[in-house]
Amino acid sequence: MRPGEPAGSEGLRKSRWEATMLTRHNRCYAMKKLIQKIKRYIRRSIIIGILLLFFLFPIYWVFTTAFRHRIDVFCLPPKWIFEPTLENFQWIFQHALVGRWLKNSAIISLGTVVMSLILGAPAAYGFARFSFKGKKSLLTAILIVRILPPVVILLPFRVMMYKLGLFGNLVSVIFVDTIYNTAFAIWLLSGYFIGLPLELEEAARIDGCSWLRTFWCIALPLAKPGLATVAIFSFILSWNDFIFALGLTTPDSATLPVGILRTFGAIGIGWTYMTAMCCIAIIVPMAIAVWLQKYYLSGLTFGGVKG
Amino acid sequence: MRMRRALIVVTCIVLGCIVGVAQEKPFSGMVLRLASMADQFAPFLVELGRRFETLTGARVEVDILGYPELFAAVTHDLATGTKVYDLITVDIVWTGLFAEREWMVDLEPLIKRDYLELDIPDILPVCWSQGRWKVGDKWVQIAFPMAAYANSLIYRKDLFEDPAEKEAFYKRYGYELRPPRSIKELRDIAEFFTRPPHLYGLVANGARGPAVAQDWMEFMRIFGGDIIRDGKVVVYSPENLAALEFFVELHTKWAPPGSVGYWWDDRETAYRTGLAVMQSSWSIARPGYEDPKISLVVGKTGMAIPPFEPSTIVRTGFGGWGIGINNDIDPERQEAAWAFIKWITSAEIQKEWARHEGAPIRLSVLTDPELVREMPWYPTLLKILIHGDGDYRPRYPEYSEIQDILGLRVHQAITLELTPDEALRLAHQEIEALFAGK
Amino acid sequence: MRSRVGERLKLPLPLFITEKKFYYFFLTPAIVYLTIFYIYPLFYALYISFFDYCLGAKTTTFIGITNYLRAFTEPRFVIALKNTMIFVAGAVAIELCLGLAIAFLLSPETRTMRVIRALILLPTSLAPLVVALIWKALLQPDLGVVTYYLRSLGINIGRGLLEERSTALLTIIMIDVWQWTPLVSMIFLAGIKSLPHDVVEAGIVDGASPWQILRYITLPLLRPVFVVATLMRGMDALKIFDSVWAITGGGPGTATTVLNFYLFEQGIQHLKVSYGAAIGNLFLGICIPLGVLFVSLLYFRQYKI
Repeated sequence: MRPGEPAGSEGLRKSRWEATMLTRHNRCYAMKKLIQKIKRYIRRSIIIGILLLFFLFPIYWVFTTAFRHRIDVFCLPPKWIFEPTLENFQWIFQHALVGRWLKNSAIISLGTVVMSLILGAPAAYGFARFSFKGKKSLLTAILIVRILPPVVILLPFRVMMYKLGLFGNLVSVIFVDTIYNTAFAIWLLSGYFIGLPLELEEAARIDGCSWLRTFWCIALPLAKPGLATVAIFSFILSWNDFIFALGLTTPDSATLPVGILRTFGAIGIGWTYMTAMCCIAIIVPMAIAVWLQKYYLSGLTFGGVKG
Repeated sequence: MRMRRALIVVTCIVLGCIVGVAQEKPFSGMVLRLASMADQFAPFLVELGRRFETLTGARVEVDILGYPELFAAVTHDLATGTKVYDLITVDIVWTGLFAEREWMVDLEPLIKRDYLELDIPDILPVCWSQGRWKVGDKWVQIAFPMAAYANSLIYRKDLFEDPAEKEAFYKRYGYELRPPRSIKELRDIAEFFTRPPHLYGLVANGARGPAVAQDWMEFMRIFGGDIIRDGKVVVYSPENLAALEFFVELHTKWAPPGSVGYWWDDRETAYRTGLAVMQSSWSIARPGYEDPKISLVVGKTGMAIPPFEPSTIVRTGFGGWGIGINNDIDPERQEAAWAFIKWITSAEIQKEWARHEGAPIRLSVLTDPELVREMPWYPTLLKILIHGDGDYRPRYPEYSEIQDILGLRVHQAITLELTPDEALRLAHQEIEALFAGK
Repeated sequence: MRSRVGERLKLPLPLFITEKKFYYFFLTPAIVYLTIFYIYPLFYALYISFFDYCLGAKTTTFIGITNYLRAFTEPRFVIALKNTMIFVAGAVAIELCLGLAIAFLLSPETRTMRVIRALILLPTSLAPLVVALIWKALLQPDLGVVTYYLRSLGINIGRGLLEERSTALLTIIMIDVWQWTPLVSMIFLAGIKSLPHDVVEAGIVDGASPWQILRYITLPLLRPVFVVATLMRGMDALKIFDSVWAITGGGPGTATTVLNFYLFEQGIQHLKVSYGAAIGNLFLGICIPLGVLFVSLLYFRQYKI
């Protein structure tokens, strides 16, 4: 017992001491935890930073190089601050046939989107709503089309187009792209149709609608997200396609990727012109991937991931 | 009555105007398509194509294609008769192939017809090898000379004239530093200037295919070798073996590390960025070294005749592009195409083209005092062209296959996959097999 | 009220004869189109592979299975097969590991994370050819930006990542990883989001360390996602062509010659239609069984047909 203290206050003193020590301990513990948390946060941010650098640097490089003067490309170490110029874009539209390639790419991509929706949507509905003998095998045979390597079909297709006199025509590329996009459309849209509740369609059938009307008026509008996904994804696929365009086009029907390579294949370092062309080629799919991300991702994963 | 007369007068005037305008533009509304190599002369060719419309009403659209793509597209079009292209730039080495297959219009009669207009004596004699071939017992001209390339030795004049370098060189090798006149000198200078990682002595193409094949053939010529001599395949010969060994040494010792993947423009860029000191290059690239937009060595370039062995015969390399007319197209389109050819090979256009990275074919243009003042390398260029040999690369119909074989085997030699001896032996066997039965 | 939801797939909706015919109506256009433009060319390829037809030739002779036998004795075909297998295995393996790690890293549901996820999907939207050209420029041995930084870090890359026989195929794999890992990570992310929380919580309550939870609970639960991702990327990796064509041309030597490239070169560039068709059929022999597996796992199981 200390002088001046009331009796029985040792316990209180002890617990007060304990309380102080406990608070201090808690504070230390909290501090430690906080430091740990900060360290983890920093570590995580650094890793994410490296990740973003890895994945986004080439895209950044393409866009900046397209606006550089030609001489800047040859300076090492790379100059990260430079004065931009539009001369590369001017040059490629004047001397390379970027306008023509853009037109061809657009025609092919839009054409195949339209055709594959027309062919694929009804077929998807048919597979979703009806069952019949051999349905599974037929469906497998069709869906496999989307997975198989393109070059296998390119060879006989080329001979066929050659014999039909359509070689070098844009239509031949539309035909071959539509094969793949139709199979993809059937895959994705049948999933959508299967997921639609039957009640609405049944009600329509009872009211006397034909199958066609049910499909057109009820099922199709409800599957709009699926249609959007198919349209967007088929467009991007045809826009980015290279091997079919390489094998089926002549220089006057070339698409953007083929045109870029044909003009710059042997010219190693006309990088500013090449990147300017690449910018034009990638801006549309990139915009779609960013603003219509939900549909884009859904298409990429065959309908597996829905946004 | 008066109305009717007035109407007749007006109609006559209008008709007269239409006829007059139509006569002014002989080829109104025609669109010709030209397939051009993606070389330095091409952008101005596009410009000329557009200008032709204001002159004659016919527009010439130019497709610029890389070397392998151009060959593939053009041969496909000509072989299948799809008439995509009306005018085609023909590499000198494709002459035999195009002539034998009769893919192009024979320009001999047209040349004879317009002899005076074309001022034929003004065109350097060696240029005719850009399209001249013997089919059966008749000589045909399947392409008109358009861009004359001289194979020259390009070197960094500023380094060669630098006193410190000269002294160091003399101390090491015992003679004056100057543009090499023999193979030994070439080797010494290349070795001397190789200071990795920022400077390399001698650079050449190395990419598998036409790039490495053609560059190796430059050195083959320097060493005095041939592919075909007197009708016989002489690929495996002491000179060629020495040339290939030198070439392998070049790529492993004196060239920048990426040289085994270099196409023509990669090699030019290595020189233009100051990475390489010497190269064996086509003269078409010479003006580019003075363009500050793409060159870091403005004003520092010297051009010399490449060394040659045996040193008794002056033999320089000649190459370049002729322009020909597709044989399948209609006669009126052929006329329009011929008019275009005559126009772009005329002296005034060639002079203007020379100022925009063209390669003149005419003596008058190469000796024009204004141009010589603007481009001081012209006298050297003229000297090289006069001694030019357009046949050191066989212009036979089998050329593209010869090039493929060399393109593979030489590449395998410089990547050390095969020894030079094995590579050359294989190349010899395969090239001989091409001619078997002829 | 004849048919209810669950039975729609077992019993056809009956009554009028015309009704039964309707599925013909829906399916016919697509089937006719695919038969003309897909089945017919494939059968033609099968047929022509037994001849020695070259494009542009006037005559051709029947040579039986010579083309197939020739393929197996042709060293470049065997190398092409080997390279393709190495590529697929390497690319898929790396993408799975990296994709899983990235998925975990980006799993928190914050605004920044959502933005990062959108950004990271950008590489997948570029044309494979453009990706190839970009990397070709970046990895150029003397002037490429990436090569420059690699060299200044002291890494010895010899004549260049794409020029050395030992690193060329790995570099092609890396380019594929760059473009498609984000997709794999999105697939894994969806899988992670759909994990049942109670099981994970039970693990935490039982005192398992984060590493143990990962190993014994999360990963086994993600196994179906692994299968999906493997099949999806695997089938796509078999289609590799653009980067090889645009960057290496099959080289250096034969280091990056893959099946698609070899087929294109032989069948289309060199006009050897029959030989190309034979190789194509051999390739199909590998792809069709995988494709059937793919379809049955990803489609039929997903939509419970």
